[in-house]
Parts: sequence; structure tokens; C-alpha cells
Amino acid sequence: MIKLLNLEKSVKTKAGFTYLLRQINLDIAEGEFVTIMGPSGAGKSTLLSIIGFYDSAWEGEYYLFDQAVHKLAPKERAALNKRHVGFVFQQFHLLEDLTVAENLDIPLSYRDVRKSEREGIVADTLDRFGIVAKKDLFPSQLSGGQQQLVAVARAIVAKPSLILADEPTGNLHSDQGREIMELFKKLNDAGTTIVQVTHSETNAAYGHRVIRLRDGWLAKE
Amino acid sequence: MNDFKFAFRQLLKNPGFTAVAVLTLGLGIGANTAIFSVVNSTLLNPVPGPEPERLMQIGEQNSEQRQSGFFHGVGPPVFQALRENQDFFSDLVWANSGTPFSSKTGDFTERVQGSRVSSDFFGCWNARPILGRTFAPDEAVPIGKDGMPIADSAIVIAYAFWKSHFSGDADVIGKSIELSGRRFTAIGVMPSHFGFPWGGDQFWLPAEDPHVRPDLVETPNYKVFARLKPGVSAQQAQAMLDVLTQRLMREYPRGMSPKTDWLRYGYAMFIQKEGWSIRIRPLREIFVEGQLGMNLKRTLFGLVGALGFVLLIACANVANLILARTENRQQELAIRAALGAGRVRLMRQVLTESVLLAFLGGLAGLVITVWGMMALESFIPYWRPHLKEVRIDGSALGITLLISLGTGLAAGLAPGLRGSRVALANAMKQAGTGATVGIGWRRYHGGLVVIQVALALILLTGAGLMIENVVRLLHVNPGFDPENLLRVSVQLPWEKYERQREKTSLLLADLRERFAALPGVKAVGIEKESGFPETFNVDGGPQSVELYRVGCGMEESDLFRAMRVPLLAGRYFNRDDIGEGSGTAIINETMAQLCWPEEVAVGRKFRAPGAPGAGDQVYEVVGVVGDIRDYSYDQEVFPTFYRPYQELDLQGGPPTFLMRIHTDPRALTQVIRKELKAAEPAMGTPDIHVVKQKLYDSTQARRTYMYYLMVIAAGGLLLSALGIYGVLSYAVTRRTREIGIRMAMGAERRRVLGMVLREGARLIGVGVVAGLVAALWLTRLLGNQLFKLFEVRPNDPVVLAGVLLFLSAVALLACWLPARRAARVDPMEALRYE
Repeated sequence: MIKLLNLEKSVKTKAGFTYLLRQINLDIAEGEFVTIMGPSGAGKSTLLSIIGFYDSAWEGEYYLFDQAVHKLAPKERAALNKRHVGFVFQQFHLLEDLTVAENLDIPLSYRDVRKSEREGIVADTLDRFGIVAKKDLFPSQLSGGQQQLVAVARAIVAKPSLILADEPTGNLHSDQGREIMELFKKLNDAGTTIVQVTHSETNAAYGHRVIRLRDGWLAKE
Repeated sequence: MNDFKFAFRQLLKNPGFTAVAVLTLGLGIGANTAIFSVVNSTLLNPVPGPEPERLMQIGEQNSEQRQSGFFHGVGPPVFQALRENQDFFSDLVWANSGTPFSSKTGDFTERVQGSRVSSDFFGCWNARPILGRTFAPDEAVPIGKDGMPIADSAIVIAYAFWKSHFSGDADVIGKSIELSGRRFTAIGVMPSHFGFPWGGDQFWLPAEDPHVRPDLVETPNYKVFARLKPGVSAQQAQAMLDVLTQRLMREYPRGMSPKTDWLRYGYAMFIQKEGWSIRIRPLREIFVEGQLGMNLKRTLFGLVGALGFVLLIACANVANLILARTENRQQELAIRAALGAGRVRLMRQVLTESVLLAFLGGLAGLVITVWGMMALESFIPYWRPHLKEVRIDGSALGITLLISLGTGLAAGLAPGLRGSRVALANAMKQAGTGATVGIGWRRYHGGLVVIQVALALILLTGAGLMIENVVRLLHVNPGFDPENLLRVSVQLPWEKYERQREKTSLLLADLRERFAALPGVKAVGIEKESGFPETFNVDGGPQSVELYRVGCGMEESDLFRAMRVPLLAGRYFNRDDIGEGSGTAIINETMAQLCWPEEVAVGRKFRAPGAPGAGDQVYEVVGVVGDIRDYSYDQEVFPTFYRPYQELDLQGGPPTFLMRIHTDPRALTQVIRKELKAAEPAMGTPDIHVVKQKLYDSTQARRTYMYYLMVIAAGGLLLSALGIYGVLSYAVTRRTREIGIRMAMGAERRRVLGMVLREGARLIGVGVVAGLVAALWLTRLLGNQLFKLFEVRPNDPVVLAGVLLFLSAVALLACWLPARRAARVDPMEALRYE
């Protein structure tokens, strides 16, 4: 599903170029649950951004479903992102001014799904995640765990084939974290490919394999 | 639709921001639309109906009048010729105010002004009555030798007359109105805004067209208005009038004898004046002619300029507000982008809010426009011609709305674009980590603040000059003691006293005695102005000067003693000075300076050229008195000489009594009215007023103008202060973490306070310098053009220094508030917050 060949990312500083990622070669098959680990500054989030098309300034080759992403124009990459990617942030990043239902509706509206269809999808998703009662609440009225639950629901509402999660339980206590990880497991069991960044070995245990990064280099697969 | 819903929710969620932005926009839009609407309907586009540019006025002018811009009416021979020529004009109407009518009100007979007009007069400008109808073609009545309609006729009354004489009775149509002994039937009431061709007309009567007749002296008193036929240009019409000019000059030749043809002789005197011709000009010019038009133009355009600045400040403020807010939403925009929103969607979201804000601002602007127009209408003097109702000008509203909309869009567009380009990876990080305000954006915000401060300084300078102007005006020495002085102008019945000098003098002496006997009256002086200048030759001075003649009382009726006008040289009049043969004169200081500058005036002579065959009338100066400003503090003082009132006819100003009193003037007014009635039962309504109050009232227009400028400047200053506060407050919020770190590193609170204050002071400093340069340049460029200043220099250092201090103080206060907040930042809290 995902194939990275000699992928490199650098930024220009006063001292010259500083590499954030070096010679990354990576294969992720469809239906895999992969964990990226490593110390702070190793390049985990940067790699996740590149896989999710949120960062386009890199070198090397990137194939998604055999499509050469590195050859695509920004617009085409954005279209790929819309079609395949759902993202879960450590800080949830729910839109504060929108209700739970509206937060779920937003990705669909950005994908030009018709209103009547959106309503059905949102209702199904609310039901599936057991948050129907919360649909008219604003994020500030929810607990951290509930917010991340909504964030995961929002990430999968447009039925992405790939979920990218950046420290999804970093701001949650252990019970809530476990709940979210169970949810990821279920999604993965249902066929969704998941790539998560985490410091937690417990969370990593939910996945199939761990990719370790150190100073931008792939340390061990 | 969702975008609108979310935008609306965003605005509701931030009521402070929304209220400030909507009010700011509303003020900018409303105030400017109001002023543009008033300017447009009174000065720029005052003529209603289709193709107003084809409406013309036709009048007579000699070279002297052409120089002063005075446009006379036309005489019957001209009108008759115009009526006979059908090739040039599709409409041809006229109006003539002529002799005033008298109307009985209570005990007194008042003089009321109305116009005789052609029966199609109202149709020419599509003027419709609010009640009844206007004249039918067959309702025109012939005019008699006395200038009055010879038969009862229909009458259309003005709104003010309807209110004052009929208390606004809706059943006025068909009622009878008695004027100058004739009866007229009311057929229509014109709306309040209609006052044409002279504001102050109380009614209009239908009259037959003027024509040359064997029983009436021809005078050029008919104001004629015409609509050019399609395809006819004003130049072509002027060429036709030039031919007519030549023809009439032949028909009314120089040297006509008043003995053989006295009716035509008078008109020939007009036609044979140097440079006489018949002219045509766009009707629009009637609304801006003369000093009054100029004053109104100055006032309104001054306000246009001032309010334009406020609009700019308002726009800069709104731009800053939206910019700051949108920048604070970068994280939200990034999340939206991460969720799949394209650049267009993000822009749409941001712009929807800006547009919604502009729309709400527009609504607020409409309300403020209506208020503003009511306030501004007080500047339009009642005597100005009016044709059009002052109403909200659609294009002005459109333009100001567009400007505010443009501001909203531009302010929203820049951050929207930036938001759409935001590095999406940042969305995955905690927002604001390490964020301080970017240099580019700080410059952008700072630039807007500098502009605001500069504009506020210009506005404050204008207001400051106006305050100084009014203060100086109120301290002007009027040349006499205005305390406890009452002025009583009496309206003698014209038919009994015209050309009856002796009878008039006896009545005035009787009245003076009656007034002097009233309790609380200390002195009574008599004054009678001739009202027009006469030409004199001055011995040992200029050969030809125009002087004004004023009749005054002497001894017990001495005007100067009653008014306490200082005698600068010579003596006052006594009874020996009465009679034209005495040849003595008291002159005012202005005349002394004009005729014998730097010399002793007493004993000098000036003479009025006598009729052919008769000798000159010679006057010898026996006294010099100070100049008098008794109507307004800034009235122009004309060179004037005084003669005993006994030798003046009734023409010109009404006979006036100046009474020095030590009692309540209101109580005295009733007694005076009774005495007037007792002395002459046919006496007209007197004009009684307290001189000091009149003088104070004379400054009303300037005071109102000053108050408006003060309000505008205060509004501009407030908006600028809000702008400074907003920008610094925003900067402090964005720098909370940085400030926290600085304080954690050991920075004292005063250091942080100083850091923020310095940032604000730098912006204020640049704005002040820019504003000062612009204010000096503008006031120098415009001088008295916009603000008619009285003894105030446009670059008055006291005003400029005061403005600088005041503006700096307010602006620094606006800096101090966010600076204080910055100094109170708890370092631990700030770092935890991040």
C-alpha cells in the first residue's frame, strides 16, 4: 500500500541543511497496524506528515497504491489525502465552535458529499461510536477521552483506507487511552490500515510491527 | 449555507469583537452616507426630475454683476420674447416674489413672503403637493398695478405656513386665506422640503405671464427657468439670447426721456448698464451661488473631508481587528485544512465572516445615516432654495458599503490566503508553540496604527482650530455694551408712512417717549438703516467710495449713548444737526480709516454728487464713533456715516429702538407690544430680541460646526485609541509565552511594561510626525477654504501643541492598558498555558 524509497527531508538553517529524515525505505501493506517509535526529534511526526500528504517538501520516492506520489502535483496529492487519509491528533484538534455532529460533518462536506447522504453517515458514525447523546454538545463540554473518541470518529467518517495517528493517547489517562487503542484495533480488524506514532510500548503492542527512528534514520524494523 | 451558519456562530461567540467591528463599520458607513446624501441633494445634484442638466435659469447681468456672480431676474420684455420663441425651450416657467403680503395674526399684521408663479411652475420639477393639487393652466390671474392679483385666486401653501396657520389641518383644502385684503382658496400644500426659488416662501399664487404693459414699470424681477429642448445646447440658447440682447438694446436706447416714456425709462436704465446681456446658466448653479452657498459648501465639504478620515480610520481598525482575529484562528484553519478543506473552502469560510460583518455594519450604518441626516439638515439655512428632499443617497450608501466590504474582504483575504497555505504539519503540533508575532505582520498592524494616529491628529487639528475660532469669536468686542440691551424693530404700515418722513418721525418720537417711560428702561436710542450703499467723493481722500447711511437719534434718543458706543473724536449730534441743510455727519472708525487713514477725520468733508444742475450734497465730519457689530461677532463692518433719523425714508431697514434696561426683558416685551399697538393700531408684528442673545446666537452655526467636528474628531480619536489598544493587546497575547520566559529569566515588571509601552510609543511617534506634516500641509493648502477661521492661523502653535499633547496622552493610555496586562503576566501560568 505504502512504499517509501530513499525518502529524505531537510530544512535550511543558517548552518546549512539539517536533515530531519535520511534514506527512509519503508513498505506498509494494506491492513497493517504499524507503530513508529523513537526519541523526541527523531522525525516520527515528520514522517507521519509526509505519509499523510501534509508535508510536500521532501525528496525520494513515495508510492501509495502504486501511484507515484512524488510525481503528483499538490492538487492531486490533496485529492489523494481526501480519498485515503484520516488523521488523529494528540491534542484532538476538534473545532471548538462546532458541535460533535458538525465536527463529524466537516470532513464529509469538504469531500462534497451531498447533505442528505452526510446526515446518514454522521448518524451512523455517532451510533457506532456510542456518542449519539453527545451530538449537540460542543467539544469543551466533553471529557478528554470523549473528545479523542470524537476525533477518531471524525478521522474515519469519510471511510479512509489509512488512519494516521500522532500520539493519540498522549493527552489521555490510561483507561481512556486503552479505550482508544481498542477502537483502533477494531478498525484495523475491519481492514483499515493504521500508522501510529507513540512513545508507549503498551500502545505499540496493539500493532503488528514497530518502526524505530533515531536522528532521522530508520533504526530497526 | 453552512459557512454562513458557522460565520454567524463565530460572530455571536465573540460579542465584543462583533460589536466593536459592526459599530465601527456602521459609524464609518452611516456618517459618510449621511454627509454624502446631504451634499448630493443640496449641492451636487439638487435638481430633481429627468435630465436635470437640461434645466436652465435665464437672467440679466451687467459686467459688475458678472464679476460678483449675481444673477438678476428678467424683465417683461425679455420674458415676452422668450415666450414667443418656441424653438429652444420645452418648458418655460417663472416666479416673482414682488411686494410682501400682509397677514393678520392676533393683534398684529405680519408681513409674509410668497411668490407669484406661472401656472405650470410646479410641473417643471415634478414637484407634487402632499395635499391637494397644484395649479391648472386656466387658474392664472392677471396682476394689478400694485403687483397684487386683481381677483381672488387659488393658492398653494408651504408646509411651514400650513403648520403655523392651520396647525397641519388635513382639511385645509378649499379653505379661504386672507392676504393683503384679498381672499385666496387653498388648493394644495407643498412638502416641507420644497422651498423654491427662494427658501422661506410661505405660498405661491398663479399669475398671468409677465408682458410689456402700458400701466406698469418694467423691472427685471422675474426669475425664469427653462428646459432645453432635446438637441438644443446651452451654447445655442445663449447665442439666441445674445441676439435678443442686441434687439432689446436697440429698443431701449440710451437717452430715453423719463418725461415722455417714464414706464420704459426705468428698464432702459438696466439695459444700458455696462456689459448688460441676457445669460443662461444651469439651474444647479442657483444652489451654490453667493456667500451663503459658499458657506454651506465649505461647511459640508469640511465635514465630508473629516468624515472621510473617520471612514479611513474605521476601515483601518476593522482591518486590524479582522487580521488579528484571523491570525488567532490559524490553528483552526490548519485543522480544517488537515480535514480536507481546500484553499477555496478556507478562503470562503474566512471571507463569509468578513462579508457578514460588513453586512451587519451596513445595517448599523443605515440607522446612523438616518440620524446623521437629521443632524446635518440643521446646517441648511431655511432661506436656501430647495427642490429635492434630502434622502438617503443610494450610490453614496453603495460606495461606502463597497469600501467597508472591500476592507472586510481585503482584511479577511490576506490571512485567509495565509491560512490556506499554512504548513499543515503545524496543525499536528500544539498551536503557538514558540509563536511570537511575525515581523511582517507586526509591520502590517503597525502601519495601520500609524495611519490611524496620523488621521486622528489631522481631525483633532481641525476640531482644535474650530474650538479656538469659536472661543476667539465669543471674546470679540462688539464695539458697544451688549449687556441688558433690547432691540425693538417696528413694522410701520407701509401704506400710511411711505414717503411720510415727518409723520414717521413724530410716531418714532412718540414711541421713544412711551418706551422711556416704561419701568426698568434707562435709555432709548433710535436707529434707521438705509440698507444700501451710496457713492460719495471724499475731499482729500479716495474719489469714489461706497458708504452706508444710518439714521440715528440724538440727545434723549441718542443711539450711541444708549448702546454705549465710544466716541473716538469730535462730538455727538444735537438738535441743530437735524435737517439736510446742516450737513454734519458722525462716521464710524472703518470709514475714517478708509477715507482718511492715519489722519484726523473730524472737520473733513465728503460729498454726494447732486442731480444734473443741482449742487453736491456736502457732509462735514463732526464725530467719529467706534465700529459696531450688533448682529454677529464676525459681521463685516461697512464704512458708515450717521445722520439724524428724521431725514430717512421708510425704505431699507425697519426703524429700530435700542433700549438699555435693568429688568426682565420677557416681561417688558408684552408691554412694548401694547405700547406699539396703542401708538399705531395698524402696526406690524415687531421683532424684539435681547442683543447679547442675538450675538451669541449668531455663532450658532459655527458652534454647531465645532461640536460636530469635536464629535467627529473624538470618534476618530476613540477609534484610533481602540486600534492602538487592539494591536498592542493582540501582540501581548501572542507574546504571553515570550513574556513569561523573559520574566522567568529575571525581567522585572517595569521592564516588561516599558517594552510594550516603547513598542506603542514608537508607532504613535511615527503617526504623530506623519499626521503633523499632513495637518500642516493640509491647513496651509486649504487655509480658510474649508474652515472659515476668525483671527486664527491655520498653523496656530497653541492649537497644534494642545492637539499633540492630547492625542499623545490618549494614545499612551491606550498603550498602557495592554502594557499593564503584560507586566502582570504570571510566568508559571504563561508557560503552563503554552
